[in-house]
Amino acid sequence: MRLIPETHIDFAGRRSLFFIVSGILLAVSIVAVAVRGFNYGVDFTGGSLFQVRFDEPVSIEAMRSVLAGLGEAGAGIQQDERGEFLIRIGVKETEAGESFNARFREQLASSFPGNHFEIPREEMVGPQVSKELQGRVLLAVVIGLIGILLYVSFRFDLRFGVAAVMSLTFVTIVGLGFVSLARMEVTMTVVAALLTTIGYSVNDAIVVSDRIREDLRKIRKETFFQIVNRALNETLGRTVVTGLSVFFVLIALLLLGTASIRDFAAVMLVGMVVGTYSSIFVVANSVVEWETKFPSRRRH
Amino acid sequence: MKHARLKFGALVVLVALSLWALYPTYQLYVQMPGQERALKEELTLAQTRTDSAEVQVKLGEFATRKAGAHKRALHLGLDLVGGMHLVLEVDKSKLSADDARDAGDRALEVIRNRVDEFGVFEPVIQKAGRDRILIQLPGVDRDRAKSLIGQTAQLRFQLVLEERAAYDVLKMVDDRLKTVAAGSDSAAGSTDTVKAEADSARGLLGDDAEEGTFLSYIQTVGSDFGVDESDMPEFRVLYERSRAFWPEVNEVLLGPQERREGRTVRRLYVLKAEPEMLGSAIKDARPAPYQGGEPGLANTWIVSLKLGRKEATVFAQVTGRNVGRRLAIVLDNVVKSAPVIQNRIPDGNAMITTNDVNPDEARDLAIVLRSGALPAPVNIVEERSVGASLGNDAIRRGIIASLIGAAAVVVFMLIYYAVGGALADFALALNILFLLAVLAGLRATLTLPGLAGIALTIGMAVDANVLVFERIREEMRSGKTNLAAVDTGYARAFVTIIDSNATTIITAIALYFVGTGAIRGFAITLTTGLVINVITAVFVTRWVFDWWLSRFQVRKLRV
Repeated sequence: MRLIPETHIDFAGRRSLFFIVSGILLAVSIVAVAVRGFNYGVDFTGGSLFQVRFDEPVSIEAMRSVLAGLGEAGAGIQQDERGEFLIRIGVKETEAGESFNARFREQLASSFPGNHFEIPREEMVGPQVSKELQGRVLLAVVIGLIGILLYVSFRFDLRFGVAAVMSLTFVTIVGLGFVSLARMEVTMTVVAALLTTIGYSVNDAIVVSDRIREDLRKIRKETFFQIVNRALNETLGRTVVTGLSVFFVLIALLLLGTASIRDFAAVMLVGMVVGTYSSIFVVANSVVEWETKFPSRRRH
Repeated sequence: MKHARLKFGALVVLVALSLWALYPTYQLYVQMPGQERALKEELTLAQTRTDSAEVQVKLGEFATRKAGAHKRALHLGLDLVGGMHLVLEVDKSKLSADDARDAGDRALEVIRNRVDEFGVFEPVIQKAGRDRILIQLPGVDRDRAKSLIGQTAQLRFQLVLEERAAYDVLKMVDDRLKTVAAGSDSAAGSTDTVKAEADSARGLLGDDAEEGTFLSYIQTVGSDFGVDESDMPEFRVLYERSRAFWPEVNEVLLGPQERREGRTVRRLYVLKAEPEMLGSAIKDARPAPYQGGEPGLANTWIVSLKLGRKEATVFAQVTGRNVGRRLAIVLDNVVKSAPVIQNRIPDGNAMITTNDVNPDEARDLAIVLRSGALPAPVNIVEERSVGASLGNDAIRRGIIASLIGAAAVVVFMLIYYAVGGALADFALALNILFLLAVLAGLRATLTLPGLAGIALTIGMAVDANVLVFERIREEMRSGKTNLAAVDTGYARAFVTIIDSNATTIITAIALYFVGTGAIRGFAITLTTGLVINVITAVFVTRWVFDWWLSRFQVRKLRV
């Protein structure tokens, strides 16, 4: 079976269109991050999180008034389709946080008598720890990007290295933009999804770069421009098949997983689509653009 | 094909090794939970100490087997199995420079001691940075873990006031509270104190019928006062307010939660504020079976207590003067136990009875006594608890979703690449098998981010095969023979596979060195998975491919 016939799509020729599309995506994401910011989870902000499950349904207003009674009117309250609550409160001194914990349980017991409840998950992250985490995630990504730049520049050449890093930066920013726009809680799971996306995009970028490099060596008669087009068309079959395989897994996770798995799958899904797009349109076109400005070969 | 047998043999050996490496994992997560539940059930049915001991022996043997399996099994992170994750920071602000130097180590030692003795299965207790201690207690619920670790333990021994005197203190506190609440004109209500003549606590409490006052929440619990857990929220408010009115020489403290006749209650004690002795006096405390002649205690467990020589003299005086009274063991303002002083204890060897055929209570109390006080106060800077049920739910749904996704991929590959697809699916299965086996071998811990790493690995494994097959198709289109197409296909795809996996490994390594716990899990599974991926995609499928081509003399290759 074959999904993709031999194609001759002029990817590189329409690159101005794709630069515009990429620019818009980038702009929307940056604006979203700048204006809306992130809905940071307790991992990053510090504070406490409680998941509360009742036997009998409890309304979100009732929960709000319980929390207000405890001096936590500003608490973030979410209720999912099964009626479970996710409650976030801000940073506390350790001791005060501790007594809040006990008071909260007691208040729930007395406000909803006869309604048995359990708190299957609770998390508390102190402000020092969360600050460290933010810095470390950023540092890890930056070091990873530098590593990729060095490796790709060494194995290919600088143009491809820069193109790969640009593509990854692009994917990361659009991924962050999605997380911001979707109002998704930034947890370790979401970070893991973004990292997975980066890994996936590296792979995509390399596969395309690799083919361009190979064709450049093999085919002497065509222009750089034609070779990039040829390489993109040749790898299109692989791009689609791999994309579809990952897509199946992600759809299954999205439909059947628990809340945090769904977040993971959603970020990955967006990241994968953007990553695939980027391997074709950002990586290849950056290389073409570079070649146009600074020709490295005799024919052009 | 060259060395066909050798390669096939190598493959079989690898698969066998992997299955062997994963067998303990199978035991631990599939077989053992049921066995353990059955044994625990048996324990609750124990009637006598002999029965209990028998089951305890069986449990002990089981624990040894479980520990054996655990040592070689794939570990599941707290986010998957449930449990408690704590990061403590040693607070050195109140310690002298000398004391502060090794405060972290001392705190670590004490905590390790306590946790070990509590019998938590495979806990993680380690220093993280200079002043932080990381603790992970799988399968332990929050309250138990915190009572074990979270506090700056302060152990004191305080005399319990007799019922009558205790009631007078409570009544006085109640009156003062009412006075404050009602302003100046409420003093009248307090005169009927005198009427309370009855001896039993029930009688003492009987005449105060007013709703919502301090005393109205106080009931009798056996021979003690106590408060029902359902009244706690209201009582707690009054209790905090009442502190200001406690007589200087007394303290009113609660005991731990306990189940009594279907209700959850906490005992309430009125104590002499001045401690008779501090926790540091204790040299040793151990649970032991009761050996004395009291028939009611014949089958029960006790705590056997040893004091330092100097403290033994003090203890002899205290016990001698107070025979028949009760001495409360107070840990962090919670009255853990209030045994009656039976007689003067001259030699510093005491015994606390528990009235329980199971040793748990005696064991916990002994730990409390022995640990005395933490050498340095610790603050909790990070705390996560996941209920085991939540973990199980996440695992079950995650596994179902992954299986369905994987099945879709398997079917898709079969349809798309026919024989090649079967090969790719085989490679995928091998890949997962090898990855899990290596992770088990590395004693790695599998967390949710770790599973994300595996998901990415699987994606890359599919991709590696797709790269190879697409390449073979291309080569065949350009008119090459089957063997030549396979040859070139693999050779060309090899370069791409190496490059793409290598760059991804670079990111993973950066994550490992810079990241914290959760991110590291992701990095480890990803790096391991990618290395295995290169091996299975490039070599193993190639062997099988060649074998298949030569074995069946394939004319028309369908990839």
